[in-house]
Amino acid sequence: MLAPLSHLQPGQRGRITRVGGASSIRRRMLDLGLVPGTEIAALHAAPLRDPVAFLVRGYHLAMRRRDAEAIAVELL
Amino acid sequence: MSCCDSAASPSPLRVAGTATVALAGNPNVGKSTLFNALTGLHQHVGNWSGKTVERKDGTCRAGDLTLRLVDLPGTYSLSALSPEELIAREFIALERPDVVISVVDASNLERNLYLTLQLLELTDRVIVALNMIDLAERKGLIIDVPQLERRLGVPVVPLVAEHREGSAEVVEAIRRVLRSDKRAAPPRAGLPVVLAEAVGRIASMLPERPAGFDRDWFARKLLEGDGAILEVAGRTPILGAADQLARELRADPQLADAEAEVISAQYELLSTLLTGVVRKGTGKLDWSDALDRVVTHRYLGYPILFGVFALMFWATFSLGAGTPLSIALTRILDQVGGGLRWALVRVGAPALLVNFVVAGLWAGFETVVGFFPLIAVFFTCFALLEDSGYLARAAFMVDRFMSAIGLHGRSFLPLVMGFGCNVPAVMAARGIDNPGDRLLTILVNPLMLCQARLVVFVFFAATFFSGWRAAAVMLSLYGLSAVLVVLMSALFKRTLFQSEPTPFLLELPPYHLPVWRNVATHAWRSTRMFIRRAGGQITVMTGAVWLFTHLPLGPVDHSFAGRLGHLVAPLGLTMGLSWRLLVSLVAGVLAKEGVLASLAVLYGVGPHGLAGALRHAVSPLAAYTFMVVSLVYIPCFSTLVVIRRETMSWRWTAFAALYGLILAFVLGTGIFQVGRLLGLG
Ligand SMILES: Nc1nc2c(ncn2[C@@H]2O[C@H](COP(=O)(O)OP(=O)(O)OP(=O)(O)O)[C@@H](O)[C@H]2O)c(=O)[nH]1
Ligand SMILES: [Mg+2]
Repeated sequence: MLAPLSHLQPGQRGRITRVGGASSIRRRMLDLGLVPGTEIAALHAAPLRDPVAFLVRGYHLAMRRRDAEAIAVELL
Repeated sequence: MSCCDSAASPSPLRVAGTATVALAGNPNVGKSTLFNALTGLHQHVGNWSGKTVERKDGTCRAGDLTLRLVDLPGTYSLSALSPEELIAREFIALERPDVVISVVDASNLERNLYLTLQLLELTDRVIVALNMIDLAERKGLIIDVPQLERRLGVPVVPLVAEHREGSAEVVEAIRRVLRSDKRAAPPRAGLPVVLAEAVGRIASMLPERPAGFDRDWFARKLLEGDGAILEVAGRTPILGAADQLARELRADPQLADAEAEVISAQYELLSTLLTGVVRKGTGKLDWSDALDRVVTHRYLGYPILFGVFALMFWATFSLGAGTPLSIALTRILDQVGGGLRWALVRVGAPALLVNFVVAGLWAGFETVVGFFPLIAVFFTCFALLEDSGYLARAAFMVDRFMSAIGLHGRSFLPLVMGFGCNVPAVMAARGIDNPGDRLLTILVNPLMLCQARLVVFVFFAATFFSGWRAAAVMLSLYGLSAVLVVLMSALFKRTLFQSEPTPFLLELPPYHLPVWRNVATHAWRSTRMFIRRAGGQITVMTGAVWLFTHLPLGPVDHSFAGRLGHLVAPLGLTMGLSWRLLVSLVAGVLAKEGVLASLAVLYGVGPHGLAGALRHAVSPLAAYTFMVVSLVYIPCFSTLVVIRRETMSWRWTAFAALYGLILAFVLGTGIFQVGRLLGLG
């Protein structure tokens, strides 16, 4: 099932299928290793639910939900 | 101490001469820690991304070999999306250091080696410094170093920079690279065929080293549409044709996604490279994750955040002021002042000179330097916060508020640094990608209540208010500072910088037990700066204020300072500020603590008489107004200089000064008038 990364609940995992968004944002995300095929897991959200910390390639990356929307994942 | 000294043990083959060695790597991987270990210098180290924002040079002697080490800002790639990336890339591509040390975090190899691959595209004289081996072990990762070395084709040196382990081996590897000419071909990610062809076509139109860069690399960057490279091509006529071709090729739908394909190919190459190299054993970094769940907890997160900062300020006040140490310090300073007077009189110095030195220079120095314990405690607490990794979590939690006022979560770090000193804080804004957000963060930064102003406020609060009232006054000033940052940001965002929101991508590093060496050096550096300011700028300034108040000889009212005071006095009328207070503010522009020093001179009293003189001449309401005005009125001189440097604009620098002045006048008048209406005057 495909969903935006922002829909991942804490504890859920997914595999990135597409990275969209404006070009500079997109480049940054790709550089950080968020390329199609990468596994990513939602860890925990900040107290006001945004941003969310993700585990990707063995490190923790915090992202706002709005930015995470540009990434499509296949739920695992 | 420099590790290289120990590395100078007899080695049969030594390379004489000098070599330039660059330290490159992702943010927060320990580049500055290694740099400090090698050079014996004290660059800023802490556990969050983006501390080093400009290149720093140092030297390291190893036998007859002198290494010029360059600590570069941390970057995730060399794609020139931010000033740091440009600095790092241009240094490596154009200045071509003899060796590049690619510092990587062993516990996070894939993403770190991605940058190494990019470095290898620019030069083959690379050493991989596999730092944080201890952290990798804590995570249960086992790394086959010889295998990795073979696959990368460059030396790989495991190390724990924090404990100075492995730096001698790094120097050894540098020697090896300098000695040999032949190196194995570095691994290259194969480009998709269409792409490789397009790059080849562009490259064929380029000279040998276009604008000093490597040809193929330049061609690929043109194809990717790299901003900085396009600019270079635009400026150089002979590169124009290649630029034109690249532009046409970019329009080709087959190549539209060239960028993503190149990056994916590199990450694929990396996972192949690392299969069999990194093995997962037992062990997990669970306490860091568990701590994160508590610290960023839905309900506990903010109370903890508030508690941590409250504790820091509480420690600053209760340990920093009125302690036996600060009392002893004052006594010693008094003794020295007395001795100075005695000695000057003894050698027959004229009374005016004695007064100038003792009641002018020395009194000014003493008023300020007595606050040194307070400053030291604050910076120690702050360094602890930084080195533990909590600051990154704080940024994570307040991002929601930052985004509400249109700021970036990343702006939080430069802002909290403003509690210490606005100068490094303004520089830390470089970590913000979006130019508008960065400028905004720079412009509101002076509103953060820094340590220099804290010194003034602590003195005033203790002089005019007692017990809980003094504490409430301090708290209200911190509150005001935060509220003003929020309001002014929202205002500027609405009117000046209506930019697109930028993404917030913040790495949360594992927690880290603070290292006493980092904490101590960090605290010491900031404290030393404070003492230097007291001894330098502030002494000079108080000297000048003394001269202006005593010349020409006669009553103070007729002195230069008096005349200036009477000139500006009308400005202070609505705020209830006397001319002496105004003149002290003028002097305070040079360094904010100097407000106290110059007041002592303006009232013609020593450091101990100032409280009494102020209580006699100024009402508590006017004193509070004065504190608010000195919080906002103008960034100090050093901050203005750094604002000018960072924004590269006189206009914005003038703007930073002007809006502060206007805001100070409005707030000062408002508070004083309302206070009078309420019968507080
Ligand atoms: N566990 C562990 N921590 C380390 C090691 N080396 C450095 N650190 C810590 O890692 C953090 C980052 O170190 P820095 O030297 O500031 O990193 P940097 O690469 O210069 O960072 P930026 O300037 O922000 O790019 C600090 O908290 C160091 O104490 C190591 O070998 N092991
Ligand atoms: Mg650094």
